[in-house]
Amino acid sequence: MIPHEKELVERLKNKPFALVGVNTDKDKEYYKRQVAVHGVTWRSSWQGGTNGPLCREWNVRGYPTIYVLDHKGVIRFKNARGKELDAAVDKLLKELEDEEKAKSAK
Amino acid sequence: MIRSDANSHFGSALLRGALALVLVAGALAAAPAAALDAPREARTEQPKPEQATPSDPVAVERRAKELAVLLERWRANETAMGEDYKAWRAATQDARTQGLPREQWPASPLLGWFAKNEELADLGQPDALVWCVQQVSTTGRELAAILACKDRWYGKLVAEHADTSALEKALVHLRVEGSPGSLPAARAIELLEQAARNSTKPAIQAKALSALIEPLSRSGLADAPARRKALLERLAKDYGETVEGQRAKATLNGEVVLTIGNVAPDFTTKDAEGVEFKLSDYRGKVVVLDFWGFW
Repeated sequence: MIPHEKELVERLKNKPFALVGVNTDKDKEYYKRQVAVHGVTWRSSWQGGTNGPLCREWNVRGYPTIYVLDHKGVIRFKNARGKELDAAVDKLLKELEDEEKAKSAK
Repeated sequence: MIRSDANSHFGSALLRGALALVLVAGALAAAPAAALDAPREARTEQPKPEQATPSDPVAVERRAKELAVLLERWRANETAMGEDYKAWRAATQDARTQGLPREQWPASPLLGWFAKNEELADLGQPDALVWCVQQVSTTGRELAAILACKDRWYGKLVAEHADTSALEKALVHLRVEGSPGSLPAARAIELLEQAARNSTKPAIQAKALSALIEPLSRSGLADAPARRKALLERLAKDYGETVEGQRAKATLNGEVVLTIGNVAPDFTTKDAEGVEFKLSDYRGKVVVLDFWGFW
């Protein structure tokens, strides 16, 4: 999963896009080392384990669990993976772009 | 399958106990099978001869004394079962080292104990009730007799021992009833509702209500989804301090709040460096929110 996430972040680095992580590793030092090894650039909330407060509030039962939100913060997709995830993000970016175009045309 | 396994365990040494068991099983198969078919009212008033009415202090005290005696007897049984088990394990080990075939290994001592523990269960000793509920399926009796026993024993546990750790243990078994070969889902639901009503401890009430969701989902009742939701809401609202209440809140959150088309609830959190940030910091951008880990 991580290579694909990296690719996504790299491909969309000049777009209004953000990958926000909620990390569930137990060992903070291990997590930091792995971030360096894999070249992870995105920010993650630190939960200290899969039973962290956000994981419980968000009813996370499996990993990874992925939500895609549009620019208004609305949940638009749940658990899209791979190409599906790319398409979901591209669709929402297009929506945002169209909205801005419509605004500037007024 | 279970039946033939159980029968093969009867060694000659255990023959007496086995005979007693067969007699007990025979009697049970005849009587409570009929009770199972009897109307609900008749069944609920049947098993309470020794139950004390709270308004009668003499009876309450007498029952407390009886239970103390029964507890002593149960502890004695437990110790003796422990000894039997140790001896059986050693004998099995010997048989294995001698290279004997599996059929010649010693029989489990469990069946020999069943009649003794069952007597205590029928007198209402709560730990013996749980032991019997757990073990009765391994006795090789007719299913109707097994279910009639379970029905009666669970009934005693929820009626007379709703505040005990024994009931808490029983809830673990009660929650998986309601599938083929076990108690009907409707009866499991009824028992769990009684447990929640009878217990004065919020922790036990929450466990019983949470356990209820499982047989309810298996019941196929038309109103099961609505009742499930009502239970989750009650757990989330009235039992927020318990694990079950928190789990209910999360389940409701997952099903109701965190659905496609809703605005994601905001959160404030810290990254691994201790720097605070909010989900809403990213408003205006398309966001992939990813629960992940390297592990």
